Amino acid sequence: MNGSRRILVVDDDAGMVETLCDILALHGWETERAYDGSTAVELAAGRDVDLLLMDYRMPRLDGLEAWRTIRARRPAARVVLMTAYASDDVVRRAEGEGVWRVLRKPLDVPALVALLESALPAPAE
Amino acid sequence: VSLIGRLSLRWKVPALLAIVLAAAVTTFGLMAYGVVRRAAIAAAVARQASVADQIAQLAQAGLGNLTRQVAEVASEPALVSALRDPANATAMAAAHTTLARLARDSALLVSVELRDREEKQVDAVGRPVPVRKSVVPAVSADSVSRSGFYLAGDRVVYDVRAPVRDGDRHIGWVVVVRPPATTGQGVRVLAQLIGEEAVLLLGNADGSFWTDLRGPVQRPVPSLGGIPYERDGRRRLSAAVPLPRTPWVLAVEMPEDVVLAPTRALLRNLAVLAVVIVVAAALAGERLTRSITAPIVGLTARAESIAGGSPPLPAQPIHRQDEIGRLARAFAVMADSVRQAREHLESQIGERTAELERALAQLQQAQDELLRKERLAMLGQLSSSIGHEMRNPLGVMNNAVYYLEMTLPDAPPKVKEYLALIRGQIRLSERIVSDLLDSTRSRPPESASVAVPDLLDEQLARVTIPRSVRVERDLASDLPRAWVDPDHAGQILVNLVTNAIQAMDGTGGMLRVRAHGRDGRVCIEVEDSGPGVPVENLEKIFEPLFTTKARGIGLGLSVSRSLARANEGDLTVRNLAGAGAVFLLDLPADTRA
Repeated sequence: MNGSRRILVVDDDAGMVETLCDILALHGWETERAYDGSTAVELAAGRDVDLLLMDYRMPRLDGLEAWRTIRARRPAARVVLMTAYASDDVVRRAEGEGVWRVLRKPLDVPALVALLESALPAPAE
Repeated sequence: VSLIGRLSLRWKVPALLAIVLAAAVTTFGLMAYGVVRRAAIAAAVARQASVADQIAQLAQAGLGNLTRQVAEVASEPALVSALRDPANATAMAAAHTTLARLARDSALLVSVELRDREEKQVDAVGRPVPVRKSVVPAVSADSVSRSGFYLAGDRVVYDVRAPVRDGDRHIGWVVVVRPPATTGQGVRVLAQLIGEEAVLLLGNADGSFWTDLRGPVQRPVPSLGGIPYERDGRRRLSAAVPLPRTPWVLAVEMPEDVVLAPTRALLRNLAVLAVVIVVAAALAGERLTRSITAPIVGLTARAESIAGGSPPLPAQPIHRQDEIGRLARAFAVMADSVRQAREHLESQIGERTAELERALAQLQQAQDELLRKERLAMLGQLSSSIGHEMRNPLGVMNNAVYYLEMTLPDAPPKVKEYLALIRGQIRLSERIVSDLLDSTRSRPPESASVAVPDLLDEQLARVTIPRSVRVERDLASDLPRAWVDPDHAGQILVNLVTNAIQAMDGTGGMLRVRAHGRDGRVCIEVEDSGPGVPVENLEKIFEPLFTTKARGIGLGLSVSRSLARANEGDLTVRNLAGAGAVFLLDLPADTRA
């Protein structure tokens, strides 16, 4: 691992992915982007990614299913799942799948930044 | 329908009775009249015959004297001498004296004549009539004989003649011409025996001449078998007898109407009696029929009133024991049972109608509820889809604003102000979406035991209460716990409180929240001091999309009622006497404790 923190941001809404990546870049994150679940699985396999910020609802492969595959390959990885629906059912299932946190949309950006900081603190300079 | 069919029995029966009786009486009367008439005629004819017989005997006696006188004169020698020698004046004078003596003795004589064998008048006393050979019957020269009647001038006469003999030789005749002489006595006898109307007729046996002793008359026909004949324009009956030793017939004649007068009087009496009988029978028939039809008319009126659907007329007391009485009693029983059946039916119909109305109302309510739920579900689905879809762009915008604020710390104040403005509007939009999603969230209730005061605290904390609104809580100390879905109950309370605050619309007022328990229920009242709900909107405010607010989508109260009902409760509203409205939330209490 080099010194930079890496995060894979996955959402089928490109605008969401762009803005989140730009914000996280401001806070010193190296960001990878994916716009659907299967791309996320491929990227996570090819790169050294330990933290994911992933939307729950996506075409083809939803966030939880993608996470299940990724987790099997990278047990150390953590995921923050975003959902606009946030029904109790989703939350329960997510917890069962070892999702680290479930965040409801709309996101409280400062809180998100703080949460991600706590997951992978910036390396001390 | 014929006239007979239309007529009332009350008239038909008496009429029939009268017709039958009239026919019977008429037939009987005519038969009786016929018999009596025949008998009367037979009796009259018999009497006429007997009277004629008696008169004939009288006449016979009268004839005897004249016969003798003529025979004596015929044997006078003076007549013989005169006939022997008509030129001998002495003999002729002696003969004339003899004839005159005969004429004097019998005042009725028309003439007394002495004729020779050839009927030539030798001498005559009185007014001699021309000799009419035709009326001279075949006479015997041996004895006195009479001729038939004939007309001499205007008088009806006959001859009595006796032969004059000179020794054994017949030399001439003494002829007496005279009218029928028995009239006065005969007519008197007749009047005594039969009556003034009887007529005595004399005629020749050969029918050549008939007289009523005054003049010639048409020939009468003896009424054999009582058959009348017409003479002088009048129907008559007669009986005739021959007079012995004469060529005459004596007839007694009566006008038929006189003979039949008593019979006709009997017929008149019979007719009067018949009319009386028929009228009496008709009247009796009418009375009898009325005694039958009057109750039937009454029964018919009652039956018609029953058939017409009106309540039966009150029954009248029945005193009769006959068939009509039985009919009336049976009818009364039937009418009573009809009335009972009708009442029973009506009450049943009333019950059924009420049941149907109740069922219909329930059905209507259920349908309304179903419709409301359906609309709500659809709206919920739509709202949910839109809400969720809106969240993404809002999130992106939110991120963008955050990024711009982070990267432009030294931006001009106006840019910062606008960024803050955008952020605020995004937040507002997010809240609207959240509210929408909250208000349409529907999942089956998961009931739990809920402490109402705690729930109220939580929910009041979620609502921003303006400073102008005072809040008053009045919760019963023995308030039971409610058995509901806490989320649902919370959402209802938030909606009600929000609604109450909006009803007071900035002007401020009093928000009262009361709660008490009763009969296994928890009753929560949320009261405001706003303008109240217009009466026409009291139910509509629970319909989806109904709103009186300038802003809002009109789902809060509708969703609240649905949630309340899903939790086996209900939500209603009423206006307060002064101002304001109170919403009553009724929920099941937790009865396990």
